[in-house]
Amino acid sequence: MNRIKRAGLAAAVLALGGLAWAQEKVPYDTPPDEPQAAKAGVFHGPVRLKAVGGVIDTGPAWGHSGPWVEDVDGDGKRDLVVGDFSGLFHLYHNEGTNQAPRYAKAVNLQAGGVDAKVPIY
Amino acid sequence: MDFDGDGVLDLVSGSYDPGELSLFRGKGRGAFAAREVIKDKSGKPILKVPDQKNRVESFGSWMTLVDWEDDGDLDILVGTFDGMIFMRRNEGTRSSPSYATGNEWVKVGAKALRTPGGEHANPVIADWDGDGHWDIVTGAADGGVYWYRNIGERGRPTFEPPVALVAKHEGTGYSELAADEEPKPGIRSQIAVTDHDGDGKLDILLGDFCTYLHVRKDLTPAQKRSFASLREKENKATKFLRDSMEELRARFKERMKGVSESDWNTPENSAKWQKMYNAMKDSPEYKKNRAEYERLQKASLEYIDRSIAGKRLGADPAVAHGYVWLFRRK
Repeated sequence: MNRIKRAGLAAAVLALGGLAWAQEKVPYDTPPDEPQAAKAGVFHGPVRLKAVGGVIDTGPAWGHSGPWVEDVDGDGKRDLVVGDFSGLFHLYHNEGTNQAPRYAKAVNLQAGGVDAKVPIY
Repeated sequence: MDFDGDGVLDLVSGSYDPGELSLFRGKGRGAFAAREVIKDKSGKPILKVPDQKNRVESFGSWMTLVDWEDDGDLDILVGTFDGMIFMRRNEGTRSSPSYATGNEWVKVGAKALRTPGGEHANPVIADWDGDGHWDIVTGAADGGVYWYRNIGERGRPTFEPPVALVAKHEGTGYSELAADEEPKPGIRSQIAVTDHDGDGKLDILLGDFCTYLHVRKDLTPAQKRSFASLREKENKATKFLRDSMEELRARFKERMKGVSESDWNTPENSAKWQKMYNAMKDSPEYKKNRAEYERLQKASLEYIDRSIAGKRLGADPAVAHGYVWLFRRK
């Protein structure tokens, strides 16, 4: 690598501050972080989200709900997407408002004409 | 998230096995193109162990996008099965990303970030304290939710040790007794941070996992005592089986002294593990406890409310659930 490129690379690394550190090997021996305890009184609830059919439950697919909120169909109302251990993505369309969401029966997000799916096992 | 800056919503996701990152490009109005694996600039899938010899080495990934360097393009953050987070720098542009081939591990002070309990990290980007800097908020295998506050400057994120926003789950998350009132959030939290009720404050959605024993409500006092006795015996057997696994892992770790953990999955070392594992399973004490565990599981079935468990009730009297909990900020 010529001198100018190398100097430029070094300058770039310095500028970025090295606050993530490049290392090929996984730092396996890292001890877990110790958390400060949760404060009481920050949240209401918690309550389980419901859809048309009742409490949302990914149990039949071995659970491991992975929720995300996004306006999927672009109608201005934020919908709910829930992944689970099947690798599918269940879309709960918001039939209410952004202040008071009301979720319809789930349909599977489609990708390329089939259910969108990520490999699980 | 808009992965390629074309103004159309895309879908990105990690996965369990083999842990590759998936992109479904949005075509608008909720339609998506077929799955693509997200690769680095050399054409290799982005993985925790890019040159893995065994596909399990990188399993269990969660991804999100963030402009780490504050240079106008999105970089990738990947949470790993062992509770750590690595970044892949985007060396391309917003609309034409090109990711670095090496992992950069997110730090807290001098050491790598590792979630409390040391398992699972599903990083989500949110400015939790509203100070103008994005923070990392994450779930973990222990069911807690942890906020890593960013006290750095634009383009130079610096993270403080975590503050729990939600306390971890008390219990194993398996075969817990379903109580009459609302259950509590389970284990393996996967979160979204979003203003769920449009009141201007960020809330938390927590997806979980837990298996529950839905005990029949019509049991006589004698039956309740019998069931309690079964549970006690089963807990003893389960404890023995769990302790045996713990002890096996410790023995394997001892055997692998001097060997880097990233080489534990080589065919040679995997074979060593397999041999030790089989020896444990074939030991008389282990076999006895295993048989006892299975007998007690079967005996428990008649105490379970089948109207709740339904078709899912198999050999295991406990039934899996995965809820989505709303923690609405006051």
